[in-house]
Amino acid sequence: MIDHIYKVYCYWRTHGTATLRQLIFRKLAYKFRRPTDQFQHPTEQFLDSKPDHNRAIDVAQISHARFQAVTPLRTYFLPESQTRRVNIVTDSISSGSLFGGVGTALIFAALLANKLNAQLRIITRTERAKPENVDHVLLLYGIKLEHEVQFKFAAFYDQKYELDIVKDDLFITTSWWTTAATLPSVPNDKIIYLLQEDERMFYPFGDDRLRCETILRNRNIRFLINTKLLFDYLVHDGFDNIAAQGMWFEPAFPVQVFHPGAKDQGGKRKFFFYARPNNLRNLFYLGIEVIEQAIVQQVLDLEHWEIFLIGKDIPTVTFNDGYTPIKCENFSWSEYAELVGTVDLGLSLMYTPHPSYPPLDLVASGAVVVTNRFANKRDLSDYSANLICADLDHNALVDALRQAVAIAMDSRVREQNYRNNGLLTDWQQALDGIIQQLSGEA
Amino acid sequence: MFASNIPEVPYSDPWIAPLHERIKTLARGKRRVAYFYETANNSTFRYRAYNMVQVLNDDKNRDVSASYFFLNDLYRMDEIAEYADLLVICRSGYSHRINQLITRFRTQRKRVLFDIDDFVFNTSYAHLIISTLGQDTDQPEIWDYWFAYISRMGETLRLCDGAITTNDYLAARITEFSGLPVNVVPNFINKEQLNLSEMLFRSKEVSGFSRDNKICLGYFSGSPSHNLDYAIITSALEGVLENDPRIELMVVGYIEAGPELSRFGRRIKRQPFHDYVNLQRLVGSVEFNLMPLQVNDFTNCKSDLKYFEAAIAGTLSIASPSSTYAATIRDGENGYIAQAHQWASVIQRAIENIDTYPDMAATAYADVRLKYAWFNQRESILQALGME
Repeated sequence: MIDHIYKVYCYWRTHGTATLRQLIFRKLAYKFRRPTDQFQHPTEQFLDSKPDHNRAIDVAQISHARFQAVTPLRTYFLPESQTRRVNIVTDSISSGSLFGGVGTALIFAALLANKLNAQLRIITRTERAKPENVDHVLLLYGIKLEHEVQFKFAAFYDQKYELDIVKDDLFITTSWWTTAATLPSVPNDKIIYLLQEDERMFYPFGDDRLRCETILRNRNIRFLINTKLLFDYLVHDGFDNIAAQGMWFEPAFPVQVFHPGAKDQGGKRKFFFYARPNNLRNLFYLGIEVIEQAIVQQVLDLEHWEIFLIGKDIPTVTFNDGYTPIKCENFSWSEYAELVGTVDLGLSLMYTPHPSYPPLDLVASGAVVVTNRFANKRDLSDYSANLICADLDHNALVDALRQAVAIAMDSRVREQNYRNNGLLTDWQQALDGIIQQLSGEA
Repeated sequence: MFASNIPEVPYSDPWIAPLHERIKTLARGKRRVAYFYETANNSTFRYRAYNMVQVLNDDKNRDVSASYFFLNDLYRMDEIAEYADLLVICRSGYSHRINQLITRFRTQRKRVLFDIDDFVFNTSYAHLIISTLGQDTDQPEIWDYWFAYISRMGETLRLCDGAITTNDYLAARITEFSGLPVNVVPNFINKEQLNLSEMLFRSKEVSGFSRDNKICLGYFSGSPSHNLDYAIITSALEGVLENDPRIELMVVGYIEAGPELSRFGRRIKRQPFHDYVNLQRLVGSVEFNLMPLQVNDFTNCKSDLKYFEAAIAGTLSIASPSSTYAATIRDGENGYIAQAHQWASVIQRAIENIDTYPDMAATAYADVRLKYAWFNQRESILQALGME
């Protein structure tokens, strides 16, 4: 039993909560659904059986078991349809995963569907969709769908679901694995891979990374890259297919969502740290060490600053002489946006070329933020002079925090920087050129 | 929930009559229409043959008469063909008997029309239909059944001189497939249904739409093939039931409320399938009639009968924006339209607007009475039959 728990723990450490949850769902699904499956896939038989190391297992079964997330979508052609469709293929649109990258995919797909006079279909692979989550996002961003939306749960372990497609259907994929699952099932020139990170960096050098890179080098699909910075990085790294078939956009931060909120007059100032210990690229451990150092060096004076750790799976941390920061987890999007509007200073790290959303959410809401440099991510002042980029070492980050505290305390400079932000505030405007181009080609 | 003092009415199928009487009814007018359906039932037969015959025979001058016939009646096929000037075959698949029946009329240079209320005649869409209905695609019998059913329907359609259907969207699909001229006669409310419904509406009106302190949402299903439609609203229902203790759900017909809602115990009410007249009492008792539909080329062809049968009993509907519902329901005026992601918020809005209920229900009732009451259908039926 202890061994079993330890194995689960190791799996969780390696693959993260979402993947562990998928595994549990899959196991439960096998347990409860199999009796109705008349034609069980051989891999399911393999997965479902007790481990037997003497049993012969063919290569296809082993690969399928290891890379279930790329199980091809089950599709069938219809000769024609009265309504055209824009499809999103994503893992989940639960409230926990809908914002950030998935929210961007939804906004893009909704605007594209409206432009093409098409229906939106949301295909999820690990969790059945909660349609009201989509309603929440679209309402927040003021987007009204012209046509009915469809939700389809296309679980990779399910033998029953099917997706009808017609030749004009477009598919927006949201990760290398959803792209890999879509490639065998739809005409490849109808796939737009919305790439919002150098996804190779999710993995150590190994099979996952290799498969990811293979998808990123695909020449038959189109790429849409979130930020020019990430686009330039990938092109510089030799992705000539992305140089040839890629487009980029800068994200938008609408004022109705991101804006300075009412500050607690006379209260302590708020310091925000984006704390996700299980998302390694967010450098949780470096971050808390830097905060500790900043407290010791009186860069952050706890008499005047209150520290908030915002994220997921955050341990109970104490700093320096026993100060316990406030943990904020499982926030709804409106709670998150409300809190961000009251923040004065933030530290948000991302060990990749992508600027990522939290630093931009913060400067869009009037805060001053420190983030890190990486490759061509050297200077983000075009987004905002309140966004300071530092090298990835303790001293450089503490120095940057010192500089950021000074700006945060100087309401005139901070306000002026905020007013001169270079961030876009309208998604329609942010994506207009891309959507025009796609609707012209489509 | 609305309290009703209208008692249940004794019910027996009103279309049961011996063949000789039906032939006599056919023969009494100057211009005569024979409707054919394989065997009587409460759904397509009622809407597309029985109701049409009821309207056509409500003619004091006996200018037009009509009657309906079934497969078992065809041993007197020659008499039927002799008396009738026109044959309408309602949703019947090809067989030797159907061909013989059509041939009888054709040889006498009499016209034959095909009446169909569903997109089930083009096998290119068989897969979509099977999938939409949630059928088990791993069963070869399912494929055999649906391909046979649909192609037989298409073949009968192609043998006819024209078609009649329930809405413009389906009419366009029929023309695409067959090239035949198509007329639209909507489904409508017959005499028996209207009589009870009007009593229900008046009783609500007289009481000022008085209700208990609960708000009941109703899902009414005439067949077990709507599980995937119902699934559209399950998550929204969970949220609404969780947030508002006044909310109850009534699930009627061949469908289960689902395991997700079992935790709400007695707030989920289950009712068996009812005859179509007394069903109006149940429909009239709930505040909101929920009509979720997966939207695709198959479901866009569905009629709006669930909407008008609720409205005539003084009940407001919340519907998916399928082709017919979107054309009939003016959101916030005579009902509500909810896209698949909006069900929770639209139900919430409808509840918040409960004070406007009597006005909206009166608007919907008046619209429906004008457009869907049996006594306003004669002209469009005659036009579709080419007898105007």
